Amino acid sequence: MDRDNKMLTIGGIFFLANTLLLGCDTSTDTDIQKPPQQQSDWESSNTMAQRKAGVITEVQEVSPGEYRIINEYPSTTTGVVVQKLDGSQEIIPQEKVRSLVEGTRSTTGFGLGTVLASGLLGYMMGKNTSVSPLVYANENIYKQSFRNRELIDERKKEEEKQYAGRTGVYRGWTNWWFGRSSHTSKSSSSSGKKTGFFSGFSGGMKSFSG
Amino acid sequence: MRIINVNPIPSSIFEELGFYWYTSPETPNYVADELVVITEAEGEAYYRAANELYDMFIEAGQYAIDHDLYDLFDIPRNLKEMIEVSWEDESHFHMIGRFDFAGGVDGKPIKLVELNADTPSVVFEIALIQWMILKHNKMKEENQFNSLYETLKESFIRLKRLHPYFGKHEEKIPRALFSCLNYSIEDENTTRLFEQIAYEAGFMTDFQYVDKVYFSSNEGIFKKNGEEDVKFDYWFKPIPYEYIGREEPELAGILTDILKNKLAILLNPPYALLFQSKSILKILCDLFPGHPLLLETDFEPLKDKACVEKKTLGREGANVRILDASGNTLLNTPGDYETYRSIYQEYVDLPVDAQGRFYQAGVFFSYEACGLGFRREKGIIQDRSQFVGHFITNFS
Repeated sequence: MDRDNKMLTIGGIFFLANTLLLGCDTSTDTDIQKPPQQQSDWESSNTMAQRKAGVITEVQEVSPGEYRIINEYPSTTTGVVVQKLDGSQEIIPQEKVRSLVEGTRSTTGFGLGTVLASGLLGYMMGKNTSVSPLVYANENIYKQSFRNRELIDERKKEEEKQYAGRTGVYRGWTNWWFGRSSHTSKSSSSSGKKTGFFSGFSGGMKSFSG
Repeated sequence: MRIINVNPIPSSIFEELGFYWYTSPETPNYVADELVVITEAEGEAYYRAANELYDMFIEAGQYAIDHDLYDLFDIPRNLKEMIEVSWEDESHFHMIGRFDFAGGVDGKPIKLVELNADTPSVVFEIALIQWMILKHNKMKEENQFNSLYETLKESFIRLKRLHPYFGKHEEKIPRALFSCLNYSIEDENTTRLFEQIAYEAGFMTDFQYVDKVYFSSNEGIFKKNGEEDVKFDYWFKPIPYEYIGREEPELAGILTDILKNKLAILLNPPYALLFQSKSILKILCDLFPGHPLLLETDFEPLKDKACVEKKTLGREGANVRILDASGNTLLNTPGDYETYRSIYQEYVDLPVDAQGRFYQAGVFFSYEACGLGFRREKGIIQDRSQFVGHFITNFS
């Protein structure tokens, strides 16, 4: 495996950062003011990105044209890293992942699209209702995918509840960082839970951390 | 100091990732477009130092508890019980701390400046931004000592394993709530990043500003989702414990009950405040006299030695005063921490570059040393000092 792209499989934010940096490389203007076009297309057309839920998947080519999932976890970014038989690596950003999975017709075989459609990514995209053990490199990764599926289900349920009733299109987690909420005064709720701590606190500090 | 130039990353990309601090008007060049070059041996020495020191901090923490040193540490008495409850139970895992070091390059020995144990900053910069600088400049990621993100992810998994309930029920998904006050962008960057790491580690996560979180001594920590109260097993909150003790004593009482009733785990744990108080630097000197990683520290100015006066619970380089061997003030910074006790730490020259900027190394610790980065400033290193990533040469 190419050690130099290890971080892409460690955290979704590294995958996203890499995609953004590549977009910046191909641009003639080094100070890009707008997000790369494919990013906004994806976000506006795909509920997976809008819902903040994504999946990072790492697959290994085990024989020519046949793949198994070796690492997979829910993230806020979607992306695929393919470890090829010849030791090279292919990085598939989220806007290309969809067509790869959507284009899959058959659920048999171990082609890249099929394997992805049979794993957690396919589950999120509605391509399967139960992930297939056959596409995983080992039983542990398969078992983990069960827990991850529950995590994704829970997450989706809560986000739907949270965003129901709000106006505007939700466009990914970075966009709602600065939606400030108004102060509540300290009060006891009917159940005896207390809230409103630090509501009057604005010590004029930029940060607490050091 | 060996410094190399790199192509800067367009600020729009930082914003896309949610890193907003950097673009604030007061700090237009917060991320340096240079990297500090270190050797592999220097990098390893920083790591060994952090690992060795952390064990020493645990001994010193135990000493502080055994000798009831809360007053000496300027720790409010209403935090004593929650500190001791968290100290006694291994499920209260210390998620993250950052050692600040003088030296370590240019042949200068590594010396501990302090441990930011409670609410350390610069997580985003060390975990992600310096890696992005390498990528952007076609450098290899193995030329950096940086496993911070990966180690934090492992620490969240470890946290689950250590939990009295979730450790025994592998199939269950724990819930973690991430909170900060709603005016600090820097703290919110950090909090949101931790939320993402926990989610990837298999936690159900959510975010809520502190003033909207619900607390109950008998029930735990909650967020209201519509009509429903959602209970959380973990609460991450980069708010210093001494602020909770002083500003919101009622909350301190409820949190103590919550810990005693095993209703939630707090991140960082309350005992992090023992490591955060700079009084521990004096205890370390008493317990490990002459240790090569320690600078002489006392509660009085050091006799015939230049020293740095700092406040026990001062942060971000505030209320720091540099004294010469005769006790004259050479440099000082303002701040809001005058009421705290002073400690006096032996002065040591920080490594300096050709432009007269001093460099301080930061090494993160989460179960083990896991990420290195630098801050630089012409005077005393503080909150707005520039962040400088690093690059390791002679890596085989």
